[in-house]
Amino acid sequence: MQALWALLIRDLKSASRAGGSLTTLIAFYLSLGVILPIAIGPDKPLLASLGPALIWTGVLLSSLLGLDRIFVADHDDGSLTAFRHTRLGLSAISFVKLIVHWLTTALPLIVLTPVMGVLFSIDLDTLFAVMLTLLLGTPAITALSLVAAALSVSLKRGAVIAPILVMPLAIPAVIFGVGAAKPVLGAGQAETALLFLSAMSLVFVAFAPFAAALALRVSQE
Amino acid sequence: MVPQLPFPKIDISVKGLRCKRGERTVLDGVDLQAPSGTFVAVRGPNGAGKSTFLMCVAGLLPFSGTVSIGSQGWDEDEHPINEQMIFITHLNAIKPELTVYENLSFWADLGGGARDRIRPALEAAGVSRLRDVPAGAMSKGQQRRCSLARLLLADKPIWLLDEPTSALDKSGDIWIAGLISAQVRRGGVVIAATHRPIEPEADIAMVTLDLEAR
Repeated sequence: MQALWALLIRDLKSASRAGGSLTTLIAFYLSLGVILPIAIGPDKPLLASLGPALIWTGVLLSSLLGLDRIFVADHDDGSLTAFRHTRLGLSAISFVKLIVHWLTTALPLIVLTPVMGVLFSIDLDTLFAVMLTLLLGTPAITALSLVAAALSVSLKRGAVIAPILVMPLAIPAVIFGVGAAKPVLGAGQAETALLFLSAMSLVFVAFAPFAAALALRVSQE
Repeated sequence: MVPQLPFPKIDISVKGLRCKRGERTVLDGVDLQAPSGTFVAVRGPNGAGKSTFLMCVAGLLPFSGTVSIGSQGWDEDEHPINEQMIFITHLNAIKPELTVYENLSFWADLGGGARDRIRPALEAAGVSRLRDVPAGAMSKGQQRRCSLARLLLADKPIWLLDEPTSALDKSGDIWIAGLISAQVRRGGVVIAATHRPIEPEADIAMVTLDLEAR
């Protein structure tokens, strides 16, 4: 436990000092919030009705930005090999990496979502619904990112390949996320979609560390 | 200094080790007997498989043949990771944005919380003045010293070292030779892959494993 805690603290410290990545993330997300309304044009009701879908797409794309960082630094500086002779298993390490990636990527995006709400002129209730679905749905996306990052860790162009691996697999999360935030099929849809979304996140988060550990073990050979 | 108790007896024996990386057979029929208290110098030209040999012993690569460490023996495929060893690869496993102290205390926590060893380890490595300097601001040699200081934190009987003296100056070479001598005297086993010969103290049992380029 102490070792896991040490890893969590070290990764958060290292992420906060390395700098640049959080700024890039925020700038990218907010630029989407500026560009999309311009592209759609001066149709406020249309923009507001597309809002939840656009925000979800924005979060998905932005979260892919720093995806390769999850394991690459530890792989390149030899830490991953050094971890193998400690008491921590690779799956425990992957689980910590999942938490760190969520805290440094998904959480800032969720916090910034009210700004996106203003840019897309969506009402307060919808905004809260979107933020709730993001809170419940982003763990699934982070879990998929973890596995993709582990699979591509030893590839030279891993940063390019990993997002392409994640995107098709993230489709269900996007469907249920947007479906819960903006129900079109009447009462009950939001609730059902929310439950599906939560279930998906729980299952993905439970399995991803083991899948990532397997991928890392193979990549070291 | 931390008290230096002798290690329990731990022997390493390798028989007919064969390892392929991709399509290429890198090691074919390598044998080694390294009883407790031996220093093994693995030598050979570039591409002879020195690092591969270390990775096989470390349990990081599948192989055929037998590797036994202490009472545990394995043949074929991957053997489980042995917690009694520490493997310092040619990479330093040091985060440039963290300070020297933070880096070492992280590795100490991972090894089970021997934080009181950090100070003596930094002093021994000759980097105690740089305790609060970000590791990225240090020279390559200082980073290497910092990484090798992990050996003193972990207190494991088996050391696997891949080019430990790379980037080190003359005094660094002497420091490493002294560390290895002390470890071997305590009954540990040190296996080091080197280009530049390491000269431990004269009374240390030393085995040379020469690998050929294939």
